[in-house]
Amino acid sequence: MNRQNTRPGYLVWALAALALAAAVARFAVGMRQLDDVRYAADWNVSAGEMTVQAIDTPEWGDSFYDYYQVSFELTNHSQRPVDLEEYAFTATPEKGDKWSARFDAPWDSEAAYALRPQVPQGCTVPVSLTLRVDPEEVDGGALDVAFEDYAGGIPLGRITLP
Amino acid sequence: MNILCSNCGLRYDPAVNNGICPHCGRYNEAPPEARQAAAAPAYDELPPDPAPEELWAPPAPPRRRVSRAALVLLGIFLLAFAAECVAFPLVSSGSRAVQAQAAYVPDAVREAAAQNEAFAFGPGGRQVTVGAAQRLTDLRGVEQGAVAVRVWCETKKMDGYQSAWATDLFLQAGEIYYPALQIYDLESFYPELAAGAMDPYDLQGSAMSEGWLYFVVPGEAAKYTLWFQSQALDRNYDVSEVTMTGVPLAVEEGSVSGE
Repeated sequence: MNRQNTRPGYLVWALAALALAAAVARFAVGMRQLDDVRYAADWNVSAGEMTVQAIDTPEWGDSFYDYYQVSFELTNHSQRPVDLEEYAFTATPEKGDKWSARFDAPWDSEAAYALRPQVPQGCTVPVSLTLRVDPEEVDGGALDVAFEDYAGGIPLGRITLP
Repeated sequence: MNILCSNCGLRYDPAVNNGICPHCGRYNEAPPEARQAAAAPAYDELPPDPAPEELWAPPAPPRRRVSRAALVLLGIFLLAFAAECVAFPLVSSGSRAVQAQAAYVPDAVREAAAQNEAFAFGPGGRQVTVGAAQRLTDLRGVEQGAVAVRVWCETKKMDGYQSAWATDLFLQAGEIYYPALQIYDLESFYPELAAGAMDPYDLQGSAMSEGWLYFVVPGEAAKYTLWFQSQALDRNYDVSEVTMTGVPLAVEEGSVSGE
């Protein structure tokens, strides 16, 4: 039987092309990370001890979820004020679906002038946020709370659901 | 005359099927004598001792060798990829730490002032006076559970323009701070109020200015403090120091229905 491979040289060229594609992709990802670092440099926030307590489902809430009140003191050493909006903070379960917990708040869609609580530069304020959790998707009950700076987030602390 | 197929290696007669191998279907070139069908020999002409058949095989294609350039390029690209995997995380973490330290704003220095009394504000010592404060329960478009508060403010003309500073305004209701409404926010629904409002950015200028400052705060708050924030800027226009001047407010009920 004469079954020798007649194109052994193309395999190396193909591997070289793959390595080039990997190097280019890693370069793009790395530059994006550096850009995130440059963008996130102005943010410098920290939180004190966090407390969590279970609460009843709010009027605007959904009985499918469990609700908790997360309280802590937030210090802002950033270059700009920090918005105390629920979307500025994330809660990621240590185990389970990463989207199963989020900070929630009622929203008046008809309001032209809404409340915009902030933490000025160099100031510390007590923060109390409502956490909405899907009990079916969170394993363990430990969640990492972070300030969302659109560049990976700044860790604030860890909470354990009661 | 049989030949060997260059694909499957089996022996066949190319004269039977126009040179196509009956085993695998591969066409093989064969010498002209191999394409001629062998004439049936007469019975008495059969050779007593036939010579061993001489097989013909097409020449094997030249074997390709691994290209040295491909190997060199593969090595270079793999090295570049490995270097990127190490360098980018190092540079990112290092830059983040350095820049976060450079952009760090220390705790604000706090000063106190009184309502209806002029006080010096900012590095140029600009004279500012805070006047009446009113709760506006009849201002429509405010979020449910919130209320609008406005504060009268006057600033004197200042000699010389200070460029290395910035200002901001907050109304503290309870323990939380709320920023002032911008004039363009008011103009959308209340142009008559916007005409008499003071832009928070006027504090940073040098011209005289006066007008109402508008805030949206929770309705249940009972204690209000107006904070004037002065930010000292460094050569990179980063905030290096913050001074907060607080004016406790006595808030009375007000109305905008007549304006």
